Amino acid sequence: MRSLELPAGSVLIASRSYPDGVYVVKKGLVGLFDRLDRLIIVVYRDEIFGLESLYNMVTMYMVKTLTFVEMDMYDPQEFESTLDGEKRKNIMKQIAKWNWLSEKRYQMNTENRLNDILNELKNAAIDESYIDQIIVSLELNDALIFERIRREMT
Amino acid sequence: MEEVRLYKDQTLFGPTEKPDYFLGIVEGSVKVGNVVYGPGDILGFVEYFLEQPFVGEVKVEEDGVGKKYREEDVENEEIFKEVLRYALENLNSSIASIPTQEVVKDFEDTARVDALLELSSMDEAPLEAFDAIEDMMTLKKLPALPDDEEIAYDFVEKFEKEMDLLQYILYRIAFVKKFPENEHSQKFLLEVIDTYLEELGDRFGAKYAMMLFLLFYPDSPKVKDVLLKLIKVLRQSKNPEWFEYYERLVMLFPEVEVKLDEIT
Repeated sequence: MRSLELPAGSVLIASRSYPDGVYVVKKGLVGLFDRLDRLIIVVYRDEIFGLESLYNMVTMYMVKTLTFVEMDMYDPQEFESTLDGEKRKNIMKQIAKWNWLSEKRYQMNTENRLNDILNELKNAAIDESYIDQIIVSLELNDALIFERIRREMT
Repeated sequence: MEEVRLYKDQTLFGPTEKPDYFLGIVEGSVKVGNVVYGPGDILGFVEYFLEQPFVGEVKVEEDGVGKKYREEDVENEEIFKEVLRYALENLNSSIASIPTQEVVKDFEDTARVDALLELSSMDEAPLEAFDAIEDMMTLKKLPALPDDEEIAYDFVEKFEKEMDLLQYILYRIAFVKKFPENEHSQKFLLEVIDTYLEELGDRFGAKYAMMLFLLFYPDSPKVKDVLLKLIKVLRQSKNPEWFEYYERLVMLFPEVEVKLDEIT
């Protein structure tokens, strides 16, 4: 396992490429972008990407840091060895959610998700060019949370 | 994990049922809405893990065999890898298939309008929202109206539906945009909503006209009626957004008793 610290705007996985490992976010925000360079999913603390490396599978999205990010990177086999039943269930839930988000473009169960993202934002030096995209990709149901995010980010 | 037989025409889940398992198809095929799944497909894992209902009925298309999975099954390494692989392929293919710029723009505009609607208490929101809604309704060519409010009102008021239904709508929307504070603007917008719903049957247009109304006239005595209509339209089009407006209605008018069956 390697610990990484990267500034905002770092591309970790290019679209249509093979991830070289599994990444677990510790701090900050990471974005998954579609081929039109549109942010589709905001990834944050304890979420995992690069799982395609377990299957030597190509990703269709690009992964780019939205803020300063701290994360751990594992070789695929090393990552598999860390998994227990509970972690497997959590990964399935995360991927189910990402499937939903990518298909419905609508963030779910989101008060908690937003609060988590907001907490990450508080200490993050965010790249302003991502602000609109982040706002669009986030749950917009809760006016208060939405306003707080805007305030935090601008 | 439980292996089960699948029988042609067997309904696995009703149209709005939340699944209590997800299904790996070994043989045969299963139809969800208009999509047919075959051997190797795993269906319902998103709905199962997120406790969401299926959109559409889940019915067996051809006799076969399936495996019922539940949360505890993915603790098993082999099943986990099989399901995760499928879920990742599914994720990647849905991202890859995100369609044309136009559709993308539509999604973005929807999100933008929804966001602005939430921010309707902020001073700068309504006009920007109007532009976004105008884009979505492809009303870019709103007719020009005289600058004099009374002359403009007189003209719009006298423009009858029979003359041209679309122009009738466009003139009213143009008036609302130009003179949102005019005492007749609410009435014009309500007429637009009714025309969309009753004469054109255009739920899409009606939805955004109603959103405009809520943005511009949040204190109007007609807000309750508009919210009820909007909830009904959204429910009819199976749009989950209806619940947000239902919550808003209940918050604004706690005395209102809404029977959901009556607004479908």
